[in-house]
Amino acid sequence: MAKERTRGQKISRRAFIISGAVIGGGFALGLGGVAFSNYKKKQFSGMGFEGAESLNAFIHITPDNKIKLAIARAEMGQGVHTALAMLTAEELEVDLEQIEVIHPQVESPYANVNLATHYERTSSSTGFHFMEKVAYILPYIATGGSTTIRDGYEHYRIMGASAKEMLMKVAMKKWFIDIDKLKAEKGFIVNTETGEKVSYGSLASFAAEEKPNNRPTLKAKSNFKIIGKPTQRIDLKKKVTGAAEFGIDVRLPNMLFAAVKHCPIIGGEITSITNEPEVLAMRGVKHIVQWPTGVAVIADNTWRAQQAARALTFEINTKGNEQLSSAHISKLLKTRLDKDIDHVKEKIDNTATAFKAANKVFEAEYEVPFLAHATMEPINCTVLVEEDKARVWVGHQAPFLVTMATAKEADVNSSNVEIDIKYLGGGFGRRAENDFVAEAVRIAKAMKGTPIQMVWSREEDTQFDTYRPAAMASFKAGMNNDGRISAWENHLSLQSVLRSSIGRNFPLMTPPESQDTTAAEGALGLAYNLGARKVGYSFIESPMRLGFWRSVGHSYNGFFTESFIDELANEADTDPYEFRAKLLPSNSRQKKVLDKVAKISNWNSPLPEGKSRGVAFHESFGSIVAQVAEISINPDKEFSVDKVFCVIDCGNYVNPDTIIAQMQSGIVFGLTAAVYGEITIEEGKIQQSNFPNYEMLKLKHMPEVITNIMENNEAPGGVGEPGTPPIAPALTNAIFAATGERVRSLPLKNHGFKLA
Amino acid sequence: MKINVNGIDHEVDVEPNMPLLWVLRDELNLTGTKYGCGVAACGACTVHLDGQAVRSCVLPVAALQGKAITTIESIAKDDQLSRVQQAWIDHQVPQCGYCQSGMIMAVESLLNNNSQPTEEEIDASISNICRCGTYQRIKEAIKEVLTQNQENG
Ligand code: FES
Ligand code: FES
Repeated sequence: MAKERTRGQKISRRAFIISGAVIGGGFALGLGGVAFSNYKKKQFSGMGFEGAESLNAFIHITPDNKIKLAIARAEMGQGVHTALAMLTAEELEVDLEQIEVIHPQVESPYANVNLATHYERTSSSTGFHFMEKVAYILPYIATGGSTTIRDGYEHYRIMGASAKEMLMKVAMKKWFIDIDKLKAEKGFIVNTETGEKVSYGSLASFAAEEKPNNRPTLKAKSNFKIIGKPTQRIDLKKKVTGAAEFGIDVRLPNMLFAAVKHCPIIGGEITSITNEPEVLAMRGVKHIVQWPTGVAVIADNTWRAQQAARALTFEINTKGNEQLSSAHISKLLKTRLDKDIDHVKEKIDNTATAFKAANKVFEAEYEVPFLAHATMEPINCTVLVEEDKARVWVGHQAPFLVTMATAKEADVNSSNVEIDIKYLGGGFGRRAENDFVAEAVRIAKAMKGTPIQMVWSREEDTQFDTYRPAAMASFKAGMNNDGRISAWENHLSLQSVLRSSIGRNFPLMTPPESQDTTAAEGALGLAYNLGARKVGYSFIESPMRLGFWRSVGHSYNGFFTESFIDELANEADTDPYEFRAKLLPSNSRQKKVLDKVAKISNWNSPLPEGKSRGVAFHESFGSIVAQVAEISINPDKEFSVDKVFCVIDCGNYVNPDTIIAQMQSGIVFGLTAAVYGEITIEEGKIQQSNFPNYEMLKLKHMPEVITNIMENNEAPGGVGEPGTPPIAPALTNAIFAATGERVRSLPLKNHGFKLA
Repeated sequence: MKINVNGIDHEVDVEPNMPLLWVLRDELNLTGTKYGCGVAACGACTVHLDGQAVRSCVLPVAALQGKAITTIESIAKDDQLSRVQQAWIDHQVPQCGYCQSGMIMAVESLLNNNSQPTEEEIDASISNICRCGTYQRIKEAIKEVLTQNQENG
């Protein structure tokens, strides 16, 4: 029987459990991490920071007064290099232009810290919905779960402030004056009595000998000059001139290129290649490497390798999956859904009793399909394997997995693995997997001494993805005549992302079914007053490879819960905004966000014929987001999303311009999925292969997004993912308002809706 | 085979049907032009052929004899960004940045051919995919360049 937990009960986690936080979330910091960082030189190699003095593991200063800042977080568009540099610059008192970001090696100080997370969420909680996730494996270096700022907000400031103190101490000795006569300014320590100034660069080697203070005084928010102000990103000049180096752009002397063809049957294996001599004879082809799930052709040019890989013919072992289909998986989901909940994760009072007492009981079921990540830069990885060492150049969200996979595949000691993390042409969770790194190492190992760049074609990228799972949900609500909800049951049926992904990447750490922290995220702990509750999930098994997809469990639970709430509003004959507002605690952060979006969208103002609005509200990754979609739709079901009003409460924030960009980005990502997104399976094969049949939103479809950021002094929340979950329900709720048609499964294209 | 890229003649020893994209990226190491789909569906590989935007992933190199190819690497002149590039920074357009070489090449070509395109013309001609969803800022950046065009007559 599943372990039940009631609200208000403390959730404690065993340390070292690798949970959804691996990619999905978690927040970490604490003095443990700070102390680690300041035990400089012992815990980090300084690789990449040559020619600079290390004041701590993060801050390295060159004689010509440049700051080399260690950032072991992936820059995949979400602006983290800029944001972490801003946090440092604020406390260190330097200009952003002085900072150069360097991705360090996989070393302890850069990890998310091993701090067990406890939190308490009571029914009267107006607080923050912390993710129920933790990840503490040192050196646990990963970017995901919208955690970068939550993890780094204080950490990077402490590093900056501590380094500044060390520089000041040297200046005190130099001028024999008190610290309060000194001022740090734009990379200089100024003697306010004499006006003399000395650069950090010239003090750095002495400052490095000073004892670091792990608890430096941080600036008050009211004194911030950089944090919280719209700031230009530091990586854009490179990104408009073609100079930014992505993983796929790495070019090395004598480098060769590899293309891969995977077994076309899901979960199947390649038993033999039937035309190897012909393929080897193709122009430029150097070598063929085979392993159970794929074959690589190494050639002197990517296109030649791709042509040769396409020409390969195989014999395969289908492993019994040749009949696998979407219909089959749907049926499994439905069969499981119709049984009792296997893992109840939230239980308040007795729902059975509450349903009996209710005036009305309303039920509905929803379904979403598998989705691919479709990062703009196809999956790739460049590797050089030598006798007892290996080097990897890759855009990756989890460098510690890169090191592990490389050491294992190349059969070298992990201390002999050097990694070079490049810009990521999109991540969205796909680049948190090590499958492609392992393949690239396997390929390069076949030609030791030659650097090889493995690039998957778009078709391979689409068909060998680690998918967002298909999922179904059933809901049942008891309602009273006053429109209040007195009972709420929600059962989710899906395959476990966590078990699939961790099972591949880190098999020993695979959590038991009952500990999947992503399956029901966004369905648990809803801020609404719902009366008695019972929420949980049940799993099916399938050979599909699943992975973390921007906003993970929230990506479907946002759609499910906010569609159902909208249906209840209709049942109660109440305006959808008013209905939600009544269910939220007055004065709560949640209620303020919802009220704000109603205000900026002019919710109560009439719209012309053919236009309608829908609202949705969802908390994820420590942030609260509400969106109103304003659409135009005609009787032929052709529609456009004209405007999206978006309000986010992400507590204390760093770069508001990035938040606005991430809200636009998350909305486009969610809209794309809502309208087009669908990976389907027939006869054991993925049916989609490239953008013509896995469609993307384009410029002409772009709504005007109007974003409002709430001002408060709460702990920082994430911004990379929280913009995605509410948009699908906001859209389908708007469609319902206009047409009376309730869309209970995605994508919309399967219901005859067309984006004009 | 001879091709002219960014004003420089290159002799390349490749099959006539090799797409220009791979000649640029793998033979000439001009990696600013990106691979996204290989089937003319995303625009990441957009370059100019005699000033017109083309998708280089489906353009056999044999078809390029005697034509001038321009890539993202030569849009900024002597470190001086073009107006489109500058507008991209002013409006903080790129996120991951992977699609932006192609976006900028498509927009440069559109504006070279038509200094005041309508919104419909922009929508119709910029069909590149940006998975990060930077479209709103792209529109705003283009609008700014159009305003400058107007001011400059
Ligand atoms: S790579 Fe050429 S259009 Fe996509
Ligand atoms: S900026 Fe990432 S794909 Fe456009």
